[in-house]
Amino acid sequence: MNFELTDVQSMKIAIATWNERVSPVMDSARNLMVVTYDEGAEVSREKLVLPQVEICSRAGFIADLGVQVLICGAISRQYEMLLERSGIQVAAWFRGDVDALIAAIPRGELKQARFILPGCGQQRIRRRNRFGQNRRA
Amino acid sequence: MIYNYKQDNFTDIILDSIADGVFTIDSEWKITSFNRAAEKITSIPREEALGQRCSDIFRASICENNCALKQTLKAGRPIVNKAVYIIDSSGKKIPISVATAVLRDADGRVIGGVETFRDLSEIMELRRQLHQKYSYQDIISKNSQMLKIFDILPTIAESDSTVLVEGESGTGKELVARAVHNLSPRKSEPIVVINCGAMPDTLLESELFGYVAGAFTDARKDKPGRFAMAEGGTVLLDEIADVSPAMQVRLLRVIQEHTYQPLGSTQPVKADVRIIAASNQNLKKLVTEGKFREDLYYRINVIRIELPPLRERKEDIPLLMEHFIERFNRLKPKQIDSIAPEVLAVLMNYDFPGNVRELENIAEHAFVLCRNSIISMNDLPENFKPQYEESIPAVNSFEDLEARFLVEALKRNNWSRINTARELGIHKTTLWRKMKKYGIDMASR
Repeated sequence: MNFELTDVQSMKIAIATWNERVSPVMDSARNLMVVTYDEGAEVSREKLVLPQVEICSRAGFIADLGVQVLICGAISRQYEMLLERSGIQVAAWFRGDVDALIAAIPRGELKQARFILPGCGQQRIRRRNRFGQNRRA
Repeated sequence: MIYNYKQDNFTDIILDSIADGVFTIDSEWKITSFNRAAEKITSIPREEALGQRCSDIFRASICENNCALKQTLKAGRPIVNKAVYIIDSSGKKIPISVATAVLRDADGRVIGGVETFRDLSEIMELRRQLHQKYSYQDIISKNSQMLKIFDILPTIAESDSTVLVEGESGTGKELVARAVHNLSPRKSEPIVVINCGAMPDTLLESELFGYVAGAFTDARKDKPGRFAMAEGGTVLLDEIADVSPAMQVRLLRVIQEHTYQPLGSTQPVKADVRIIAASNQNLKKLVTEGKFREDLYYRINVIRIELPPLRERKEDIPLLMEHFIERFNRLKPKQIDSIAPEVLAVLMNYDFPGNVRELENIAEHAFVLCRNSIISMNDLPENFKPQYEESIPAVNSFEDLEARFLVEALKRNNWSRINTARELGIHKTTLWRKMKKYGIDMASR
């Protein structure tokens, strides 16, 4: 696992949610929690409903929110690719209670087993240049 | 509560010998048993699965919004053969069928649920091979014009040229575009579809090309457009005939120079995409009428594929109906075995202005209403019933019946006498003689 997110000085993070937990499958997720950090502190949380449109438009919708990182559970390769090309870093294969996960982000505790989907020891995040060329972090 | 798994446990030995994945849950949705096939299909070891929430392990498309086990536990009724997909740890979608049942203890008290699931990947591949004769890349047809298209699709896909797909609404233009993409060297990259007719110019421009921070109020950060999303892949410009003249100029530049400029940017961005355009109107005619730019038309009309309307490929109606019913059988908790001949006869007599999409809607309507295993006239939408009664006069003799039978067979085969004779298993001269006898001539089509 090589995903780390400790530098949240000023950014927007979206988490796909279901019943106050990380949604198990991003492709069928319906809700997002958007958390805004400023100077390292959480300043707001917003619950949103994902429009039920094809995945390309959904990726565009998330990008329009100004989200830099999306934290989600399982995700198909195609959806992950489209999100990354929309300028969003995808942190997939997470699980757990949303509040606990949000609290763990600035503390750099996302590596804890309770936040990792079983059978997924390979959380990854890709970094891209401005228009979608990927390079592995 | 977690049951300890013991290799010598007789129940576990039985479960492990089953080819289908099986898991059980307790009242808190925690996994209490997980057989060997479940490990194999999900790629999750049993010891990692036991005691975990089933949705964190199963990761199926229905977990969040349409859980089969939840429905079973709520209604007390089992669900059989529901087709869904799961996502494995590599991000691959695996098609599966699931069945669920309530789990009770010796006293009949509900203690949880059991779910069995079967990997359909191989079955779907076999089915695809079985139907290969009349199916190609999810397009189903035995119509000669369509078969010619199937033949040239791999060559078109390989070429990387711009493609124009023309055909009435509902004829399957997007399916053809996806087939071209899936057969091309760009198949590992995304295909991005945009409906040009669905949005005004300003929105379409920002959707296609994206924008940079500060391009307009609220543009706080760069936003890549659909061309950037499809980098290395394919962009399908659907309903291109609806694009305004100003937007046509911008698209022309992209196709000519393979570069575009995001809104508010002074820097051109290179676009490594293949462009497929689709239209339900005849673009050549629009060019003649001055409604579509001639230069853009020639840029996108490098390779043109024209899809025939369903009324010109009526021989596909039985095939398509069978395909739709089969698909609904997999998706919904119902089993329909066949379609009554009179239903097919009525559908063969109908012209389908909405083409295959309309037939699919009719199939779904009939599937939902059908109360037994055969789709009958009562299951068809209302507008078919009076038409059916009016359009089919009474049969007074065997000759009447034979004449009508021949006309139906000719319609099914698009009035090809050779194909009709082949279908009926008679010589073409016999068919010709019978047509002459009953006064059926090609002019009556």
